[in-house]
Amino acid sequence: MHANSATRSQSGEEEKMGSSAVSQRRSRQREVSRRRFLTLGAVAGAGIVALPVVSAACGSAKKSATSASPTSTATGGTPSGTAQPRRGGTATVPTAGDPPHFDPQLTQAFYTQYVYTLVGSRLIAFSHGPNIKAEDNTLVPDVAAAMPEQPDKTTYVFKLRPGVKWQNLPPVSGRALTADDVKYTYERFIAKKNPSAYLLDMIDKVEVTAPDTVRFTLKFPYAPFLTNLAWQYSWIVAKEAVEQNGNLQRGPVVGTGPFMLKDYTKGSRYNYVRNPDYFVSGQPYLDGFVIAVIPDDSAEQSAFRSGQVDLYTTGLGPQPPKTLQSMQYATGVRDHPQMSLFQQGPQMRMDRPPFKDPRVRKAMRLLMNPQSFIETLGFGKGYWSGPVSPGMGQWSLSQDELKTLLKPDVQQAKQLLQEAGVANLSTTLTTTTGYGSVMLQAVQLYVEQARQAGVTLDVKTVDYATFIKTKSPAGGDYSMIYGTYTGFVDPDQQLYALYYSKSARNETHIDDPTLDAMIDKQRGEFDAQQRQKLVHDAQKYILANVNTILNPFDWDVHSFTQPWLENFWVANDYGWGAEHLWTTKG
Amino acid sequence: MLPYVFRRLVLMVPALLLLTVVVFVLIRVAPGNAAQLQLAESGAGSQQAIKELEHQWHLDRPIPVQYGLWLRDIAGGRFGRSLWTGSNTLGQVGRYLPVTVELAVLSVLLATLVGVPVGVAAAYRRGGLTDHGLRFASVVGLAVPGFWLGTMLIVLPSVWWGYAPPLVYTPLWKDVVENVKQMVLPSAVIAVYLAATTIRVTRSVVLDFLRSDFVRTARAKGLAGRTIAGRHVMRNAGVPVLTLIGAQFGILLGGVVVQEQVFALPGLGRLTLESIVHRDYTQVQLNVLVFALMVMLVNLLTDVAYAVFDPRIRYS
Repeated sequence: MHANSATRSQSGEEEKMGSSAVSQRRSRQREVSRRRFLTLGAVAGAGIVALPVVSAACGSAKKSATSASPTSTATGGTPSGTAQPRRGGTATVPTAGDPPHFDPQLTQAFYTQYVYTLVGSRLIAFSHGPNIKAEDNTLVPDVAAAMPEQPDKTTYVFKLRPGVKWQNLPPVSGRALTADDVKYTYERFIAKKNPSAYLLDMIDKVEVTAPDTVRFTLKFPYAPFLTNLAWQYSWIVAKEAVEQNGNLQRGPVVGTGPFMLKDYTKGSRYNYVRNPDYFVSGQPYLDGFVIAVIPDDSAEQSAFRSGQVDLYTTGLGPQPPKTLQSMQYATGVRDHPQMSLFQQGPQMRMDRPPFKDPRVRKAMRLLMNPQSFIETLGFGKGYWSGPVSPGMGQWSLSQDELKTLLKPDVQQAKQLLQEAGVANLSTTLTTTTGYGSVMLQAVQLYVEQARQAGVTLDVKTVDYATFIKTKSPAGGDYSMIYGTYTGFVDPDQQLYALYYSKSARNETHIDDPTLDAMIDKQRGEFDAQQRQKLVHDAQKYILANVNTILNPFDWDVHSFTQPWLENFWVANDYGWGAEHLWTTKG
Repeated sequence: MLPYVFRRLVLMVPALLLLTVVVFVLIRVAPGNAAQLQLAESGAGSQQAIKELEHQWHLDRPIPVQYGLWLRDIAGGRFGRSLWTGSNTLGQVGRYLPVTVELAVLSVLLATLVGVPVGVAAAYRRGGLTDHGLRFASVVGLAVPGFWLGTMLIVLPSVWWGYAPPLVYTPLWKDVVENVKQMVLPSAVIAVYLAATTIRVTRSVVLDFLRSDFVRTARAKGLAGRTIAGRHVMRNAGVPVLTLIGAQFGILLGGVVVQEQVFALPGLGRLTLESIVHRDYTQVQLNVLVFALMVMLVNLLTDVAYAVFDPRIRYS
């Protein structure tokens, strides 16, 4: 996704997303300002994985190890064929909020992660480039010299790229990056204080086998391991930097990435300068990079149309065609559409009546008409959406399959409700202003569709914090809610988080041993095609038997770039591929 | 005068204490807390993890105990760290407050510079086309929502002419011109409502004084109209108009919160809004305390200013 789309979230915290994640946050943020808060990131970020994981994680060690050369552009971005990279200039991108602090391992706030997309590096990363589809989550080495060797399904051996130095800032002052740094980083990462720890908590141990070699041993075979390792949370941190203040919340902000944080004014701007010691020769092309804090989406659009920022990404929900047209305000403005990973919809608690009865949950799905959502809220453009977002490409069920499996049938819904003894079902539907106006419109549409099936949904709208408490698996209290689902990039992240009985995010209190077994099976399957089938089977099972979370539709996120900004490509992690951007302005 | 000012300052203490109790309780009885917000959606939000964080922040203790601890810290000059950012809350206020003060001062100045002369002009042309036009304009000013006007002023010029005011904030001390360019529009938007109210009150008060005996006497004595207006009418009308401006300060702060968000200004209003959203108790409590202190001080200044406009007023 485009890094941009992540721009505005009310909380600025939470989730792990891709472009849709981005947009989701953004819509929250808008809500704040319009109360709008509760959300840029150009979608450099968007979801992740798929083929790459498959090809990387599942591929043979030899093949992986040769997938990139240490001398190539770190994240794979290659200059477009139409122009030569130009050194100099500055790019400005908007975000809707500030980092709560600077410790990437103590928050999931994307604003903090943005800082490290410029300053930091990972062992491996998502590739940005002209021939790379974001939904493929193509993985490439970052500070690793190559993709890891995999002697077996639970062992990954990374050799570090030679010559990688920390930025010339205290306390690391330009020393070489070592395998000890990597070991320290990931041992700290899986500590319990890191809200992202679950992404890599399958790591059993990290061992330094040579000054430039580190070996990861997993507790169990986990197919998306490399995807999770490449995602936007796993920035390598320096032990000295952490120990300076006990953590990195107040800095120092230092990494091995393309830019260095020069200074910042909270609520206004974060100024970065080129790292002259960046390990990719000649990069970054820009001399500076500015993250501008603009909380209101209308203001951000205006900033783009007036040339104050170089990138604008649409937010949480489809935009009217007129708005999209207005962003093409000058010749040369480029639109980079990307299928959103964000999902929204109703969810029901499986452990409480009336939704304890699978017939009632199925009825609530059958009365929902996805095409109506697309026509009404998507202005005729959109996608049918299943348990795994269509933005995840091959992992999602095809549109044809979804249209068959999700075909609305009000009469059958009525019949199921009658059989369940709740023909005139009436319940409270809790939602929030925190995810933007589009979702509130969707709520109204769903309420109307439910009414046609004889179901009365009493909408209770609460603020974001209240909503979080309401749906929390740890003490939340609801019967039915309408919310958003973050932009996961690998199907395991989504299936495990939302549908696995022991997941900390099991908000619907699902407890289905059959589904647990299906989810367990796909996460341990390294053959891409086989895993795809398992993921599809799990989704079909969910649609046939579970139906705790309903996803009516999805849409495209649009990232617009100014005519002078070159070499921008969307990908499924945060950031903007800043190291290979250049500008023809100035 | 000084004893009066001192007494007022002392009286602020119990008022502020009462306010802190109200804010402390209200923000805590609102559902959700910072620990849940930080962890609930992350996948790490197990009940245990949330409880540990709540314990670390004393959120698991009774509200009166929490309040006592907070009050003890405040009395000791320890304003605490933000639950959301970990930053020093007082330092945050120090960074964000200047923007809000600048915006508030500019708004009041604009509203006064426009509202008072226009109100006087409307009174002097009572019943005429000018009067009707200005009164209509003031009604429009009262009716137009500030958030809508602000948004339109940003969006429409960018769509029509590719222009928008600077939306990346520049502090006053770094570039005065750039800062003023950024501050003019939000100040003007806030000033629209304030000026509309000022116009109506000024017109009404001036009309009252124009009909008063002492003005009639002044006219009978042959004083020039300008002298009557300046020395007799405006000086007397100053007190109620000043009262209005002082009383509007609280409303003005409400407008500031909205416009800081719309115009991307890093002010205390925006910080407060974000803090409420994140249930950042420590930051909200301090911000509200600062807002309340500002309102009280402005009211005190207003009262003191009465004596300047009206020599009959003496505080003892």
